[in-house]
Amino acid sequence: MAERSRKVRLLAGIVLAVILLGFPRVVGNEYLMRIATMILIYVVLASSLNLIIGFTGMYSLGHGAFYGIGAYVSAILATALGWPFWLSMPLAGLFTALVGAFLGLATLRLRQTFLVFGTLAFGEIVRIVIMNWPELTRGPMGIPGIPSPVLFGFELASSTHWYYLILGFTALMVFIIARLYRSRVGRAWVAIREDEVAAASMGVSVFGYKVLAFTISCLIAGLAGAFYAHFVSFISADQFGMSESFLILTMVALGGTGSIIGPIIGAIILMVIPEAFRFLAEFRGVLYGAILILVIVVKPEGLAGVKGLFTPALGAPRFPWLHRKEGAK
Amino acid sequence: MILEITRLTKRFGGLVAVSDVDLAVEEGAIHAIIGPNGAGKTTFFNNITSIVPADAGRIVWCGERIEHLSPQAISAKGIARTFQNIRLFAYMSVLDNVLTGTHNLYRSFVWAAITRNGRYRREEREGRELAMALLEKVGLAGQRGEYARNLPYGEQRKLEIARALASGPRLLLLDEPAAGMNNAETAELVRFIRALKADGLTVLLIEHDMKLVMSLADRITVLDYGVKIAEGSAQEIQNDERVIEAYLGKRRA
Repeated sequence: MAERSRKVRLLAGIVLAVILLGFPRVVGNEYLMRIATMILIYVVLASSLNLIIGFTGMYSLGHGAFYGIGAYVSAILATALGWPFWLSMPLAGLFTALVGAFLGLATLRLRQTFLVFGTLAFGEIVRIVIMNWPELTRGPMGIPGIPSPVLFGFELASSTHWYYLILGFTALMVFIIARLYRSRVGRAWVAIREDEVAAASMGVSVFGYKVLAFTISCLIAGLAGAFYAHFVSFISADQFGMSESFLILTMVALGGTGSIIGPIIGAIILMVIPEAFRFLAEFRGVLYGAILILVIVVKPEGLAGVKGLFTPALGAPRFPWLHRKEGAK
Repeated sequence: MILEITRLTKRFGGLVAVSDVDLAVEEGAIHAIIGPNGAGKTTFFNNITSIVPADAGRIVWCGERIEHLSPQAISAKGIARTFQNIRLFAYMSVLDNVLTGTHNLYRSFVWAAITRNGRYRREEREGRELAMALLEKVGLAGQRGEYARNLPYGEQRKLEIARALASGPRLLLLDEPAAGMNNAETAELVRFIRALKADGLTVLLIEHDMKLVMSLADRITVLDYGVKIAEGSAQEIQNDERVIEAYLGKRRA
């Protein structure tokens, strides 16, 4: 199988690269370029959440908050302290990873159901802190005028520049996630998703690898936040609330959990639909819900997933988190 | 003695599942634990591997106390196991299941996995060779790309043994390895376990198939209601009054 599929994959990769790299030349439309850039940011967010949900089988409803932390840290460093993007962006990622690690250490021993509530509450706490700490975050006013990055004395301000910059970032992040997935680390994550007791019996440090997945996922979400902040140049707390977390979660669930391509497909579909269905206005939320229900019923693992949030194990109850897990330690 | 267990006790509420059990396993031996359903055999295994830690008693492995260790630490010490109710990684390929068993043998971490440096490539190649050799041995090499969940029951049992062996254990705990196997498969399993013994592995096994136990075991321990009621060679156990009683009921006077 290896030889042929390798050739097919190489060919698909080249075609994809040509399309992605050639996109700005063909399109050149400011509006479409910005949408394409936002799709790329959501590809990163959905792929990073997939580390937690799809690979390791944990739940997180606070991903929007980590995205927000990254955005705010980089924005504050750049506007208040005048740091260059190339310094504030990695620092924003590291800070977000640190917050993620602490949250992970505190909550990842919880059962699934409580982890859902824990991360949900954390997301709300972050939003409320941002709203009520005006000295640092300017509270409800948001942070305007976040500068564009400067590369070799040349400001990256046009939508084409941003598209290429974020395309490179997205490609790197997806590449890193894919390599982790196909390694000893990724196997340990999937083993935990499949059966924590068996994973521990094979020598996998279950808690350690859960915290690791959570931390890396938050690192990547934080970096995405930093890119977003400098791209749109204005951020406010309401951009990173619960609905953002749910949007990212829906992308992963729709596209498919536990695969590399799944979250990418989910991000593209859920970014294109609202643009295409603008005439539905506030009823677009209904559309999201309907899509999610359809996926759960028809294809529980998502369009291109391995094993979904909603995939029942063999002979197991359909919603295992409603039941106590026996013997888990 | 490679494993020495003294006065091991585990209670679940008012039920004493394992009660003051002593057990000594000789290195290189095949030691069987038998007993009626609910005798506490699986709980005993769960105590040894710390999946359900014991309430009291000591477990000495190669001269070192291990009863306070975590399951992963015990795995790292060289004790591997299979499960009565098969616990494979269902949505993982057959090969990846066995590769996960090699987790403790290698150290590649995040950086090595991303950069695919020399160490990563060497470890991954070694692991693959080992896993394929094990799959070859249990006759599953052809199904390496299949999801574990798609294998028939008997093959899932074999895969679980291969996965346990991948960690390079010195002691293998088998919880009812022949359950659900037909006669031919059981005979093959007996040969397989004998070969493991010939390779120097110590095996502790729980089994209901008496033919298998009597033909394989160097030593047999009998549990009933969590209490050890007899221990000895196959010959001794077959003639033990209390064992017959536990299985068949009291003989009428």
